[in-house]
Amino acid sequence: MNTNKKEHNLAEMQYTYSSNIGKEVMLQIKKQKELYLPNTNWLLTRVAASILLCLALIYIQDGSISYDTIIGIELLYSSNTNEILNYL
Amino acid sequence: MQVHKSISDNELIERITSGEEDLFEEIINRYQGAVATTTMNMLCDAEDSAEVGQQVFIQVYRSLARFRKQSSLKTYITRIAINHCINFLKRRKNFFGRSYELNKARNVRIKSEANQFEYKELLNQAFQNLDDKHRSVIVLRMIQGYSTIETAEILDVPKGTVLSRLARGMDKLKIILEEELKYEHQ
Repeated sequence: MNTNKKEHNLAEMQYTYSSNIGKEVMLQIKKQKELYLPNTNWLLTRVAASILLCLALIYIQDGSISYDTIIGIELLYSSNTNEILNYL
Repeated sequence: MQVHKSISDNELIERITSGEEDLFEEIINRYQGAVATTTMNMLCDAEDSAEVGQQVFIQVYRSLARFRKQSSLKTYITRIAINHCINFLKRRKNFFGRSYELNKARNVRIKSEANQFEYKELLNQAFQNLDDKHRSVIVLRMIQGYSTIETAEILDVPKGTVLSRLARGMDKLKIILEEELKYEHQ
């Protein structure tokens, strides 16, 4: 066989995948998305549950929910400031 | 999917990135031949080629929003395919050693001896004996038909390097083929 034909033959070295490659790849992409999405939902659900639990505990403890009760200075307002100053 | 064949690549990309993700299948159908030709000639193994091909398209899907349209989509996909192949070859060599590819080459030879000996298989076998850098230039320049400048862009090397690798690679290929053909006639 003549090796001078190699350049012509090189151009013929073309290949294709099977016809269902598109569907296989799309399936892989969907599977990978499904793997990531539950993790995000799992995290968000737990963060939301933790916030609700904290708010419930504050309500039980202080009887109301406000900015002051959340940051914990409600008791400071209600107590006698003179007592605090004497203590200091 | 027939309807989407008339849509340009740029429009397809815009529609995919804005939520019509199923249209990505059309991109796969358009460029699966280019990816298969690149991976099959680089890896010389149908199973590895199919595996890497899937990885390539998944990577293309993920990075589609970052595609800046400075080159054609085909060039962009081929660049990803070549990079995946080079990384795959490195891992394969690290794991199996160089002898793996040479054994694979002999297997191609044995298979082809059983059937009618074909020049395509002989070339495939000869590719196994080329270095990755020579192989990648020959695949892009001689098989895929990219210009020297496009090949340089894809491989991220200067134009002169492409030309020298091409010349050296073709010389090596010629020597390998001549040896193989001598062996065949003995």
